[in-house]
Amino acid sequence: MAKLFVFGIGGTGSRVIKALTMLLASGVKLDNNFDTVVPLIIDPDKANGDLNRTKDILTKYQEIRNNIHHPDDFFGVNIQSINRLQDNSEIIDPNYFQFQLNNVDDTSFGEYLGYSSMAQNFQNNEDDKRFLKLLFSEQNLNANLSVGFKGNPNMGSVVLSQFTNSNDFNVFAQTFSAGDSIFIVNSIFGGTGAAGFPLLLKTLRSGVVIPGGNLLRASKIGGITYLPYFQLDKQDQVSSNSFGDKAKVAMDYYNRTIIRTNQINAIYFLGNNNNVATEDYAVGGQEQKNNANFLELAGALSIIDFCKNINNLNGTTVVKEFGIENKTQSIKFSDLNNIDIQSIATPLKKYKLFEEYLEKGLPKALGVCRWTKSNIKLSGEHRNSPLNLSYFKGVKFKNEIEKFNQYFNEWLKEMSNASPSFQPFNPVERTNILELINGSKPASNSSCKAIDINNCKLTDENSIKNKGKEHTMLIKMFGITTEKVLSDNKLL
Amino acid sequence: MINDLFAGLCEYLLISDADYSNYYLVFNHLYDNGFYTYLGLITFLVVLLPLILFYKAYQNPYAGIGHWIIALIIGGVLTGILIHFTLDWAIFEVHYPILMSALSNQNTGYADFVDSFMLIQPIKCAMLAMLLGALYSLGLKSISKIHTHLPI
Repeated sequence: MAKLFVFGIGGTGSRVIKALTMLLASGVKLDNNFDTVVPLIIDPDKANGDLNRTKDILTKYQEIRNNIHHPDDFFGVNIQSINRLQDNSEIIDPNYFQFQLNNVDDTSFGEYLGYSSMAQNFQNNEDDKRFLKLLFSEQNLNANLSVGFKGNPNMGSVVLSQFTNSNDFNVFAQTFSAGDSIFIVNSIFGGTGAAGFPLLLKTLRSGVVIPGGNLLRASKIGGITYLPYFQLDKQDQVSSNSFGDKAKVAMDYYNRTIIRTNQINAIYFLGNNNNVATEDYAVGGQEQKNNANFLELAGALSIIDFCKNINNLNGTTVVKEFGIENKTQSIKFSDLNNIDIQSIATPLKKYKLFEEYLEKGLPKALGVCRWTKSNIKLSGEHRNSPLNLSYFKGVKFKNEIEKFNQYFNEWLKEMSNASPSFQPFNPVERTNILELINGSKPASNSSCKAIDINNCKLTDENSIKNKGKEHTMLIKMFGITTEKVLSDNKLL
Repeated sequence: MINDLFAGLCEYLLISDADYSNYYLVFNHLYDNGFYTYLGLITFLVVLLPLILFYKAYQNPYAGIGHWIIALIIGGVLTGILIHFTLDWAIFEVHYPILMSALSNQNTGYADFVDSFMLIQPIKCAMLAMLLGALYSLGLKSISKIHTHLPI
């Protein structure tokens, strides 16, 4: 069993980790014995909307998974934070997923560099201030670091260099074992990601003097670099007009320092030439909460591909690009290539059906169908279902399952509204719930009845009983039921 | 043996002493020709058919107590109909000269009694069958995966 450490740098990194989390929740597995994913988000912008949403999703995932006995379908892959790996604690803290950067809160870049205390005496060759001004503009020096680097990798490369000396990095190195691998997600056209990726890679490959440094140096490392795939609706401190130029410069740098020198085993380039998706302008903070985009799902597919092909990677950098089978702005499952369909279509269909059912089908079944009743007399206690009214009205279900499903639904909705649009699902109601797959019709009745029948049949199964973990039965039951119902209706 | 058992039960539970003594020819005929076995088996077993179908074959996860009652009523109605036809066959089709002559003589009252007996007795048996069906359900529900919560 091996761990995959996924570094998500900047806002794009957070959003790809979110997409990966959604896939893992739906039951996507990683090949070659990767049973644990350890997300590590590097972003100085602590209030960043994307970052906090992703951290909340990761927290919900852990909370749900901790309440499932031997999860093997939905939520099958373990998502852990480095802190929990180190001390095996049960504490779930969203901040554990984020590398902590020091001295960036409410600090200007100039203050971070100690600009005000620098010498300004050109006659003694001690004019540090003017030298610094050759490298950084006045705007750079005055920029508040608590909202990130505002698209300036020259600032990012200075501030992010501290994480190699941080406690979090040491914990990461200590929890890294033989056979584990690393994947780095960044965008080339922003500030944090463009700066952080080469810096992190250099640190990992140069073998910093820390426990586990040699293992890190020899490990398999993959990465995604995002080329521009969206625009901003306003051009100001951050301008999407400069995304293309920044990307070209950074690409040239990556080519010289990373690809030709084989610093990375596999690198995936993802972008959208005709990017017309427009996001609300925000330099950072809570306002930076970009909608999900299919490209981020493609990024998560790259991680799956990396794990699948890891044994074929040797010392030479493999460069991959992502493509779809049909030129379309409205992508369905059938537009993906066969390998990607095999990886994600069935799990996503199953989880979407689960999510839709809980929202639209459950109200009719609750307290009526046998699988939601726990007061059955004269049949033995084992025939009662723990999935009763109090479970579905309970805090754990509301705060964990329902909340996670809201995020899942929001993620799919955002992707369907983005450009390119990813629309594998139709809007449905309780009476036609099985018509949810875009381009496919169920072979028989499209209502929720088949799900409820199968749930009733499964209620006595010992293998799905809670065994002290209260989400076990719900998650395992729907893992089996959704697959059977979709398969019976020729929707898989 | 079975005939004796069902005759005892039937005459004890469903037939009044007055009717029994006034129209004993009917009951003697039913007893002598073993018809109580049929009547008993119908009353005790026919109701099982709709209940087994309800618990094993009927797949409606939203079924409630109303559906179970309908299954029970179907069992009762089936029982009543079968009891009626069985009595009709036993009394009129199977030759029993003394009873036939009593029936043909209006002064004996047998004809009127048999008319009402063939109406009331099926209803009584149907009610008994439904009561039995309710009891059977407590055991039968364990064979069901979908309706094991019905009736309780």
